[in-house]
Amino acid sequence: MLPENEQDRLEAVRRYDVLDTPPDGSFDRITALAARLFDVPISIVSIVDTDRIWFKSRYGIDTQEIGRDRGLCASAVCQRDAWVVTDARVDPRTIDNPLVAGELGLRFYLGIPLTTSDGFNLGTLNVIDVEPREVSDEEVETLEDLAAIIVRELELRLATRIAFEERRRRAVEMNDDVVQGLALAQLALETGREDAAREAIADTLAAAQAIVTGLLEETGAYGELRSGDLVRNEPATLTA
Amino acid sequence: MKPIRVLLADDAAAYRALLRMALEEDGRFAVVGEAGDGVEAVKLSDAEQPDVLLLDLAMPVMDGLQAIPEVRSRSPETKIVVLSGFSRNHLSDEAQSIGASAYLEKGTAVETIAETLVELGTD
Repeated sequence: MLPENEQDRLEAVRRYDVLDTPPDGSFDRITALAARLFDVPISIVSIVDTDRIWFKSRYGIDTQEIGRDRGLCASAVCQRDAWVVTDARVDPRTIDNPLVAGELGLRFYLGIPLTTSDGFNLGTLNVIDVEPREVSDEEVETLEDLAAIIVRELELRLATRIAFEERRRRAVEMNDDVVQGLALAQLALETGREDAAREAIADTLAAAQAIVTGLLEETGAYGELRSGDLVRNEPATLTA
Repeated sequence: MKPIRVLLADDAAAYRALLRMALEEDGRFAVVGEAGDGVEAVKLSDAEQPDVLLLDLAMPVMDGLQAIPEVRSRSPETKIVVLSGFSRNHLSDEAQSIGASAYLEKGTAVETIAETLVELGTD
């Protein structure tokens, strides 16, 4: 069973860059909390990859990943809402599953898809029991709230990474347009080419102004300069 | 004394022209070619086997860090001197770990650049 948008979904999994990352307190706290709230032995934050289900956080189980064909999370990411199995040994969807028939003896599974802001299910937050049990709407809501916290955390990390990449891109741009321009001007002066130096300085000044304008425009209303915003913390240091 | 054969690689043509002029006026160097990107730098290194390659890092098509190992394998005798706008503390270790012999920041005096080329090019 594959979600309709599987290729795009896998791209989203790559974009969030969470597979094979080290254990992480923020997620481990949530699985521990979920297991305690539901009074179950196991809770997992899973990410569904091409052919495996990798566990970002696992409470009560040592396994780090399982084959996608075996995992219930692979079914759960095809859903928009909670995926519930109250007794896996009698449920036709899970009766043949090795996690149910095998050593683990899974009976109860409640998985909430981890749905990104752009609508892709990366994996699940789930709780698992070895006894059959029922689940109330309120309990489903509780796990949904915890899943939303996980997604929010993933979104924040992605946004932070994008911001760092953007900063790096700007550093490269400043190097290209400003540092190189001034280096050229300096070399021109050293080699006695004043005209070339003057031209390089004029070009560099224009490039630097364009960068400043671009930065301010991108920040929208935050970037509008008002009276008092131009008071410097320190006097300009270009005095040498 | 035989002139030191130098290849210049920098995407800014004006910068290359000034460097060429400065080095040729110095008298100790022969500029054997100019490359505007990393791929050209590799090709010209292969063809010219220069004593020294003066290499910019931020360039189109292939950047300087990508070019270093390629130049090393095609022209193993060529010493690579990086001349970059990025400060040493960011890229110097990486550049030297993959085969550059020296790292100079743009803005370094032409005299210092020339001394570095002499030191490495006459080994």
